[in-house]
Amino acid sequence: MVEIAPHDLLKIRTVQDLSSLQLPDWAEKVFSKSLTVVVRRAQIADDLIPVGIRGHERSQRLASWVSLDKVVKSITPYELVQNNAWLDLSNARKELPAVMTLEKIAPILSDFTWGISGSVGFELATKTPSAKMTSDLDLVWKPKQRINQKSAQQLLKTLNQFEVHADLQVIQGTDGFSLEEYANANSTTMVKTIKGPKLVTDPWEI
Amino acid sequence: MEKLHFNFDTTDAIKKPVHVGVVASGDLEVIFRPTDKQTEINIVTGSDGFHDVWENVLTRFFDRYPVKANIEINDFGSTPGVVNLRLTQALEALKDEK
Repeated sequence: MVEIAPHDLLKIRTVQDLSSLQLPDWAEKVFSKSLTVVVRRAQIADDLIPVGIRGHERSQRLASWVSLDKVVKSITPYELVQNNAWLDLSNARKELPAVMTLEKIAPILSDFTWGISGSVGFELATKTPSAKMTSDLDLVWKPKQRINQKSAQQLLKTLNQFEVHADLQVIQGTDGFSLEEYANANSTTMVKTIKGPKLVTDPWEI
Repeated sequence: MEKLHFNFDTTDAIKKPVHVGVVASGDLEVIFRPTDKQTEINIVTGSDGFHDVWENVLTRFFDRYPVKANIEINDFGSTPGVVNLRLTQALEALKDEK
């Protein structure tokens, strides 16, 4: 059995496999094309995985649950990098600013265990148009060891030299925090956990 | 994108500006600036249709902490839990300066 983590993309067979009673119109429309949900950062209870349905707009997000045995396939943000998934996009989609930035960033992170989340990750995993001209690049990173604030600032500067803002979330187990926030932190940093967000003085300590 | 505006009657003036949070999906940045007037909050959010949720979170916060400030919020689809935590973090940052 595979371990399910926040940001993973789960493919299911039909809308009926979701525990939501009724989907709003936008979700019905968008979801039937991809049949893919994103694992939310929340607790798994009774084998029900907390998931979200993505729409085209930021306000179009719907929380739901899916039973583990209904999952046909799971794709992690890290697999998208290992497979160079962006090479499979059509030429038109490759011209999206976020995708162009992704291609430039990939060699910089070649020694990192990193992945692609957000709208670009969703598009790469589902082959359905999801990223927009204005989309940022949401990335996740599983560090082998902690880095100090100065190194974090340097890394972010290197990643953000291209046209689109890249946001790097540091992943430790099921927790995640923003590298940018840590890099500039004077006191506390917010860590998102499956039990909700919390403020800590050292986000690397788990 | 939606712009929201709220006012609150408050008592505790702040002396310095503070800035917490980040520009990232599921997050927000919050800036508190000193003011002579009542607390005024201007929100720019990518998620439309959440006026009442904002009002609830903010009312609960300012009932408890009557901080007098001019507040700017740039929201990128954060949850109420994250909003509340960022406001609390701003409050902590203000305390640290005293």
